[in-house]
Amino acid sequence: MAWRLLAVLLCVGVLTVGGLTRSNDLFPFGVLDQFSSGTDPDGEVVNTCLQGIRGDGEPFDIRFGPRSVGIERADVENNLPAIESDPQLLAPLAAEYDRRHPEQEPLDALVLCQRITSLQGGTAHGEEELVEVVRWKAP
Amino acid sequence: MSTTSAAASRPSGGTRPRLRSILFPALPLARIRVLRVIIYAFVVLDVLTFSRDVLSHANNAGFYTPLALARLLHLPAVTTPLAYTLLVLILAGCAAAIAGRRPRLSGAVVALAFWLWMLYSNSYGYIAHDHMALMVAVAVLPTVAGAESTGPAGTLPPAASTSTSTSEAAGWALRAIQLAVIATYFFSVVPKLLYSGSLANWGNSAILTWASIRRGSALAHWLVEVTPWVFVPAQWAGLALEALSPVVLFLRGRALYIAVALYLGFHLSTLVLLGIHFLPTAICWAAFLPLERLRWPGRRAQHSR
Repeated sequence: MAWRLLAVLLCVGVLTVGGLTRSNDLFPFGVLDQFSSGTDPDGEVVNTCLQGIRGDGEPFDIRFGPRSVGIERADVENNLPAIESDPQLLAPLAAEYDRRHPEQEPLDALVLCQRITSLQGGTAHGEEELVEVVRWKAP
Repeated sequence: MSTTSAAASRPSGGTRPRLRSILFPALPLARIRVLRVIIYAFVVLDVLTFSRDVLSHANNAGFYTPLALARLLHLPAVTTPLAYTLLVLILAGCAAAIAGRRPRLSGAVVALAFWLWMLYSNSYGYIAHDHMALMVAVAVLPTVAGAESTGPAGTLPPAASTSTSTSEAAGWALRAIQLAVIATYFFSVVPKLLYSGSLANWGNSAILTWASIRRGSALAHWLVEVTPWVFVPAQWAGLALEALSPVVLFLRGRALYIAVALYLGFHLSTLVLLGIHFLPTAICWAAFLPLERLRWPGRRAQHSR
């Protein structure tokens, strides 16, 4: 029985440390910080997006996810600084998208973008703004 | 750990026995048998849908940022053969455990493989917070002895573990899953306090507007446009559910069932509005329920003959 008691205490202890140190590293007993940063009611909402480009055509939206580019939006958002400094990290996403669309020409470029919505009094205000963050170009 | 029949168990006085009855209540082994089927069936669903990203992560080695436990185990970035090996182990282990074949051994295989699977699922940038209770469940279920038999096929349990048998090991496993479920809510209050400065700042923020714009359903977008005032009261209600969640550990009977329905209703609303189901946690609410009262259709038919 002793080891069972110790196991409970250990898990609660790690969970407490993870929470107080804001560490996700201690998964599955890390900080439970989903939706924990309160958004300023007069701030903005940043929505990360992907756009593909073929030849001289217009950019078109590409969904995130394992069945599209092989990775979720949140995975990309949490690696944003690394992707900005090395756009080549988007190459496997483009490759996965091309693999899933063999009937179409391969992508010439994959753009990581952000749609920014301004808030006023806790609700959307004005038109959303599209900002290009980083672009991967096919070799 | 002792295994007794319900008729033989007697409450005893004093602080230590009382503490023991809270952390290690003697609960029916039959409840473990039913919960095992629910949990392992869900794990199958989970690895084939919600955490299926492990298979595609084999192509995203550049994103690999191993978590502490993954570093401790020196786990390399996942490869396609490794991902499929883990998947096969999980699926085979779950199938065996559900069928009641060597459930402790097959459960141990699932526990190891599923923990590795989840470490890989969460080592590529995004950390999911809805799997803690499920991971605890797969870890503790194989620790319960005496619940080896019976499954959906309706085979009768051995004489040593009849439907009225209880054990403290079963009670601990169920209590551990319950604690993990409650901790998922209660410990999410801490970062809200740390990140937002105060709980009032979080409650009065525009976090649900933010979530609705980023990932909301048509209904959520409609609420943002037409009734944005609804979000702040909803945030406070969610905060109350999280902060008061430990109370559920002490509820019994109808009050407990109402509480479970309340939390599941909370998840249903986030599913409808934001597409967030939290199913890995929601399924673990089953550990609070008297599952031993469920009857498999096959068994009822057997008894009615």
